[in-house]
Amino acid sequence: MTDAIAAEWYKLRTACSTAWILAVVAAFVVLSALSSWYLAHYWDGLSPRRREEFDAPSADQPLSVALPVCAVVLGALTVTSEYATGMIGTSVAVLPRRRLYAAKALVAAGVMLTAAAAGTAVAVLAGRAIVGGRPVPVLGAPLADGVPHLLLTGPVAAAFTLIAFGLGAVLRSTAATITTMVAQMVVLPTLTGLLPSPYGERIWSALPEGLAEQIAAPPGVSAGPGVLSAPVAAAVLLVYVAVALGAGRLSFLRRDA
Amino acid sequence: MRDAIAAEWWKLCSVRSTRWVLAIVAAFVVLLLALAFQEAQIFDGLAPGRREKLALRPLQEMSPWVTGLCMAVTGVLTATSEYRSGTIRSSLVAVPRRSRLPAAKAVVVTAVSLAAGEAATLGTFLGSRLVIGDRPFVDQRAPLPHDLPGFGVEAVSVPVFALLGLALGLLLRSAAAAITAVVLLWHVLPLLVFHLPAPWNERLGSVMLGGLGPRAAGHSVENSIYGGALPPWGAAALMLAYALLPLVVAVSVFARRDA
Repeated sequence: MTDAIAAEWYKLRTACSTAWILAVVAAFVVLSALSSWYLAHYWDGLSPRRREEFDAPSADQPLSVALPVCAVVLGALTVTSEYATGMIGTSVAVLPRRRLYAAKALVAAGVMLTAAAAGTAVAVLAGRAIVGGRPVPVLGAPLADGVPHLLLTGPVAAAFTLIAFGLGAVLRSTAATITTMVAQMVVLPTLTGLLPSPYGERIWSALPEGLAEQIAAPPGVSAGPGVLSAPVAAAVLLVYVAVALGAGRLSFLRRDA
Repeated sequence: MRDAIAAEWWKLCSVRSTRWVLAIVAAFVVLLLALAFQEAQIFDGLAPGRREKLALRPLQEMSPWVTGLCMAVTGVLTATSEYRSGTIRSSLVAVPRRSRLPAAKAVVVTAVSLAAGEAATLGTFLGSRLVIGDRPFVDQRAPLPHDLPGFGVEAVSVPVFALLGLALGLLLRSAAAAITAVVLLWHVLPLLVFHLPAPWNERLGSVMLGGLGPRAAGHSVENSIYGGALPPWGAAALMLAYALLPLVVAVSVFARRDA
C-alpha cells in the first residue's frame, strides 16, 4: 500500500493541474488578505454610527468561496485524467484495483485537506494581523471564536474532493464530473429557495453545500436556513462521502477500464 | 467557410456530450415547470395580502442562468475535446486557414446555444404561464406579448456564455481548466463582488455577466447578487463585449500557436 500511495503522490505532484489548483488556492489566500486590508481601511473611514451597523464577512470569505471548486477539480482530475490519457490501463496492470482506488482517494483527500487547512489558517491569521486592534465586527473578534470553523475547513474540502473523486470514477469524464458537482453545489441550493417553507429549508439543510456551516459556522455569520444539528450535519456529510466513494469503487472494480 | 461550418455542425451533432447537455437543459425546464405548479398550489392557499409577495419571476429567470452554464460547457468542449483526442491536427489540415476553424466553431456554437437558450427561456416562461393558469401572480399580470420580448432578450446571455466558454477552451486547451474558469466567472466572482462593501458591490456587481441578461431586458435585479447601475443598452453592449473580446484574443492566440 505504501508503494501505491507513493506512486499516486508522485503522479499528483508532477501533474500540471495540481500546481495550478494550489496556485488558485494561494491566489485566493492573497485575495482574502487584500479584502481584510480593504475592510480595515473602510472601517477607519466610517462614522461611529455607521460602524455600529457595519457587517464584515469573515477574513477567509473569498477563499471559502473558491475552496469547494478547487476541491472538486482536484478530486475529479485525480481519476478522470487517467481515463483521458489512457494511463489507467498501465495503472491497473501494475496495481490491484482496490489498492489503486484507495491510494488515489487517500492522496487526493490528503493534499486538499492540507491545502485548505493551511490556506484558511494563513488567511485568518493575516486578517487578524492586518486588522490589528480595530474592533471591526468578525474580523477583529478573538481568534479562539473561529477555531471550530478553522479546524473544519480542511476536512470539509477533503470531503468535497472525495465526493468528486467517487463521481469521477463513475462518470470517467472531467467535464461531466466538474459540471455535475458545480451544478449540485450552486444550482440545487438556489432551487430550494423556490420551494415552500419548511420543505425548502429542509432540503437545503441536507445538501452538501450547506452542511459545513451547520457543523461549525464561521464566526459572525448569521445562521442560514439550516435546521440540522452539528452532529447530524457531520453524519450527513459522511454519508455523501461514503455513497460517492462506494459507487465509484463499484464502478472502478467492476467495469472495464 | 460553408464547408467548415458544416464540418463543425457535424462534429457537434455527433458527440455524446452535446446530447447530454441538451437533455439536462430540457430536464431542468421540466423541473422548473413542476416547481411552478407547486407555486401555483401555494398561491391558492395564501391570504390575499400575502399573495402580493409571491413572485414567479425568480423561477423563470433560473432557466437562462442554468442554460448559460450548460452551453458554456458545450462551448468549452467544442475546443478542448479536439485537443484531447488529437482531432485538432486533422481539423487544421482540412481547414488550414487558422482564423477560419475557430470562426466556424463560433458560428455553430452561437447558433446551437442561441436556439437552446431561447427554447429553454421562452419554454419556461410560456410553460409556467400555462401552469399557473389565470392566477394573478403579482409579476405575471402583463399580457404575454408585453413580457415575451424581455425574456427573448434575456436568453441572449446564453450564447454569450457559450462563446466565452469557446474562447476559454481555445486559450486553455483543457476542459478542466476552462470549465473551472467559466464557473469562476459564472458564480464565484459575482459572489465575491456581492460581499464587497458599498458602493463597490453595486458598481462591480453591475458588470458581472450573469446579471447583464436581465438588465439588458430591462428587468429588475434588486433581489439578486448583481447590481443594476447600467442602463439596458449599456448592459447589452457589455454583453457583446463579453462575447467578442475573449474570442478575438483566443483566435489571435490560436493563429500563432502550434497545435
